Amino acid sequence: MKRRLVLIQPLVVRLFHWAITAGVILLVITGFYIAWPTGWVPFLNMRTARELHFSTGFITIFLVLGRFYYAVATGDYHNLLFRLRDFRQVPALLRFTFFLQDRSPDQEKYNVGQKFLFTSWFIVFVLVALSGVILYQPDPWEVILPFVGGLQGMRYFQFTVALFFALTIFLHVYLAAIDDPARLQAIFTGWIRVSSDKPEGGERTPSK
Amino acid sequence: MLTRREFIKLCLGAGAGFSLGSTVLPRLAEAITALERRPPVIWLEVQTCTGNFLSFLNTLNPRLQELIFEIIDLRYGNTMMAAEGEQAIRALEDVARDARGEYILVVDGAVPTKDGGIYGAIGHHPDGRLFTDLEAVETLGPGARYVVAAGSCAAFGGPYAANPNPTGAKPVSMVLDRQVINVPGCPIHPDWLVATLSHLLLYGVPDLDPYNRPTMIYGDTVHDNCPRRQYFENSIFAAHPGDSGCTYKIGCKGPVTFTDCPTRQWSGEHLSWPVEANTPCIGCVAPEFPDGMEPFFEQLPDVKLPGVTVTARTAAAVAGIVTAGGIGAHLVGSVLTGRLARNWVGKTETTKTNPGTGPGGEEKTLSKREARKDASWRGRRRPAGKLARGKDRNHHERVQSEREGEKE
Ligand code: SF4
Ligand code: SF4
Repeated sequence: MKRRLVLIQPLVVRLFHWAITAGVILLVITGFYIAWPTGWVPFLNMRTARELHFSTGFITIFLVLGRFYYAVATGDYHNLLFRLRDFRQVPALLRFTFFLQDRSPDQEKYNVGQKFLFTSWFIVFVLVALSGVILYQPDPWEVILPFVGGLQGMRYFQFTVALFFALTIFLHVYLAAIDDPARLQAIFTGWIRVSSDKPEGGERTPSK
Repeated sequence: MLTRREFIKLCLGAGAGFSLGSTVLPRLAEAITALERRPPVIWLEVQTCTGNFLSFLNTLNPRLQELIFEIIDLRYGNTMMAAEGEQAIRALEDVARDARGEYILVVDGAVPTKDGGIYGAIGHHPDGRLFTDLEAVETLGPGARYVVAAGSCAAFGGPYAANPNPTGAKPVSMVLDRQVINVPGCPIHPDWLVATLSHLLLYGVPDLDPYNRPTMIYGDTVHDNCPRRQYFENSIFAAHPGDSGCTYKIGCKGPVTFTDCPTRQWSGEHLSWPVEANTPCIGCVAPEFPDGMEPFFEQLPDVKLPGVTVTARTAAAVAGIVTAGGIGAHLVGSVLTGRLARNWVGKTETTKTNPGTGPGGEEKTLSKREARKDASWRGRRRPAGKLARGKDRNHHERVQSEREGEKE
């Protein structure tokens, strides 16, 4: 049998993935430092942490915008967007996750759990970016401050989101690693090794 | 005549040099002479600890005496007035009737609204009925030229409206259907009220922020003008109240609190302020005070879930432990059921290759060299079947058939 490779993560996707990953991790670390400045991050003081946080924040906003544009322009968003009909697959995915069934449910490029995570990350990122911009420069936004809990409310929201990202990133890495290392490999190399001539689920999803 | 711009500059300049007395008083006197009579003021204390009035008494420039005998005509004030009982209520009714549209209503305290407002009263009507705080505010509010909510309770509800708010306390702006100028503080700085009243008398309503606070006072955050800002930037933090250094780590709310304490200083003498006394700002002028600013010695509010309240720090730790525990338990499950072995030791190949929609999906076969390397790598692997356990009974057969496939 000939061994085949299939490109499932094109270079652009990988570049965006790793750049955004680096941005979000830096934001989470500097964010937690700003909330609880302690010696646990060496060589960091408030000034550096805040400068890093703000500059990384703005760069990541542009990266996410770029990724969003790419997803919309190429139709890639079909792979990432969790839709209402995806709820139907949730029970099977839960059964698989909790070892009640052996085979993972059929999936498109990503399973519904991952799609849910990607969609929620995007929504939460947009909101947290807005709250970050408000905290960075409150003056132009003062009209909306009463509706969003004031600066303290924004700060609390940032904390909750940092926690959400910190924990779900671990979950994402773990699930990707445990369930499908071949796909994990693809986010580094782009290619996935295929073990049969006609792989199951190997048809391309038609563009909608 | 002092222009409005100059007046605001004077208020913003503040600090020890802040002197309404020397500069503003003559202008106020001129303005009041032109008015022919001093503007009547009703100072209505509703559900309050009287802290705002007592703080206001500390005004030094102008002195209280100058203020109430030369500038304003204080016609009613629960704490100050000599009259009591029926006489006091009559004085209130008189001014409400005679100076309708002219008087300035200063409300100090939150308004209890539960059960028809019976939890707070300023006295009794002549017929013996309770004259509730709610009724007083509702009756006097519409006839006032300006309504000023003095202190955080009147402006935003403050401690009286804090959870569980047994009296249904509300800020004045939620009781009256009209503009209310909020001058919060717990207590209020005397200058904040004097500057607001002076602006009202000289120039009318000052510029207000979205919370209806005069921007000449509540324009910048405490943190923006804090003399300990360098300590903050360099992470030199006080570990306990009483330590010098930035008080951020012991809960300072200066970064989210808009007012001018660091430059104005407390009180009539402009001598000091909390951070200078090595204790954190607790954000007393913020609309979220006190619930949203508690715990006072933590930066972030508590996480309140039904039946439990924990600090943000504890919530973060618990969430981290639960996630780590969940991942750990799943890992153990994956080992016991053989899933880990199947996925990791078995292969890094997949049968699920759907590249989805959009770019990607190109295919290639391994070059001879790559195939050789691949085969030698596969040869070195441990037999996956040995590690496969549990439910994945078909695993061994699958590995076998794969091997056979390879031999072909
Ligand atoms: S003491 Fe408070 S207001 Fe001053 S720099 Fe520190 S955090 Fe900011
Ligand atoms: S320092 Fe903070 S808590 Fe103290 S009076 Fe000023 S705003 Fe209120």
